[in-house]
Amino acid sequence: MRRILAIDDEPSVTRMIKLNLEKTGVYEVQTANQPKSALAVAKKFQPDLILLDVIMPDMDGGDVEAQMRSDPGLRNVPIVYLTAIVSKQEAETKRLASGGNRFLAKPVSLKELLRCIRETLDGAAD
Amino acid sequence: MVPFVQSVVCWPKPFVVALCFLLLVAIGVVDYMTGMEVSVTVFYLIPIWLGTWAVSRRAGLCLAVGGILVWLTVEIFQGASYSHPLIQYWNAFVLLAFFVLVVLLLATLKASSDELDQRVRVRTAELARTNTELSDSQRDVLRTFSDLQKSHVELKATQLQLIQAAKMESVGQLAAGVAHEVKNPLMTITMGLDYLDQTPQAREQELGGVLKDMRDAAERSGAVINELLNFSAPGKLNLQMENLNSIIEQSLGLVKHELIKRQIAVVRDLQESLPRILLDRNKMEQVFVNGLINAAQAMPGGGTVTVRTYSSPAEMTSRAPGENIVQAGQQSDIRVTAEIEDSGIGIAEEDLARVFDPFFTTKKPGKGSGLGLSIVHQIVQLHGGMVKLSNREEGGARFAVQFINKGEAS
Repeated sequence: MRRILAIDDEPSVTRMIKLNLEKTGVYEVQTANQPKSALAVAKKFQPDLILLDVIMPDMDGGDVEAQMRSDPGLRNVPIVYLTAIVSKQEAETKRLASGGNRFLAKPVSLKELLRCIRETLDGAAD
Repeated sequence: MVPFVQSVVCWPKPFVVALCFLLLVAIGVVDYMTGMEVSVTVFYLIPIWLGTWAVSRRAGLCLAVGGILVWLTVEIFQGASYSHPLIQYWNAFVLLAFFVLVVLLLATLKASSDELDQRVRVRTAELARTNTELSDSQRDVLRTFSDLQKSHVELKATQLQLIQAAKMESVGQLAAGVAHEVKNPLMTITMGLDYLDQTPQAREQELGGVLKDMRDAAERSGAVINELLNFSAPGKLNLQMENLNSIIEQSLGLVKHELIKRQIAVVRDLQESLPRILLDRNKMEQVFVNGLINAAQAMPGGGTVTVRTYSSPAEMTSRAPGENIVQAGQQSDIRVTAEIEDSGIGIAEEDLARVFDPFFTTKKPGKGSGLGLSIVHQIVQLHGGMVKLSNREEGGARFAVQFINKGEAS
């Protein structure tokens, strides 16, 4: 089972991600709706991949990523951003600009999410 | 007679006086030759009148005296005999008085005539001056009117641009905020539907249909929000020297299936060795795909799409007859134009001014967000270009995009 950590201030979003991904039987999903507690959850859960929202109260996705990168155990965990503030066309440009992190523009379908997770994990394994 | 006298007035005065005296002598000779029985006395008045009218009153008086002297000489030479020797001189005196009276009357008449002429001349000159002033004023009024009209048109255009800019800005600000708030719930709905899709109940026909309708609705809402985001923040341009023909070919490839499905033939009229220009390839693809899809949708029964590219000096902007939009440009600047023409139904005249307005659409509700052409407009403007949608005289519409190559290496 691959471990996925979904961080989003919108509980309904993380709940749906968890339901869908766990239903595949391939992934175990942990969710965090408070960005401030995300690092603690991640340290404990040791995810293989992090799904991270961009706009959140108190801290944005970039701040959370910086925290993760400062932790030796989480430094190399791939991050996929889930964002509501870019369109699909911009997502690819953002990926190039943010050092290779992938961006998925909300609303994203399960098929699209699964493909992205698979490709990212495969890429990280290489 | 009158024209002759008018021309005599212009002759040198001594010459006229001499001529009049000669005429007096000639009349005297005729008087002498005709004898006592035939009276020609009245003819002495001719040179006197001519001298008075053409030269002056003094000349007329001199001629009157001269005329009497000639008359008296003729009388003496003819040997006229009277009952008293002084009667001859008395007759001469009376005749002189008559001649003098005629001279004075003529001189007065001439003075009045001259004064009248002078007044007419002055009035004519005043009228001519007033006429010139009026013409100048009329020209000034026309020029001012034309300037006012021009300013009015410019003001109207500027006002429209300001309204358009304000509209764009407010829509853009609204869009970014709305997008964030709407996309999260949409994400929940989409993923919730994905989850429900995997349940055994979803295989039931009725529930499956409901889920599909819900998914379509969510996707449509997502597409509108994405378009809003594209509209509000077209982003920075990734500019490279590009060949417009190649971008058009790629756009044609993207809509190939749509065109085949709608039985639309494509005619290419692409200028070879088109100057390369600084463009964001992805964004320009979006522009042409939008133009091609609009053209296809305007031909529900099939038709022909003509794609044309050409370059021209910056002064000229369109090959289309009757369309010449002049825009300032350097002499070395080259204007590169791409046109997409369709053989469809054209655009209603009242809609032409609004096609680039955000949310303006002629499609049925739910079939279009009305943002496609607004985004196109914004992208082209970001490139410093011009986009125009117009009806063709032959029928159908023309979508034209123009850019200026600022003399860069091509």
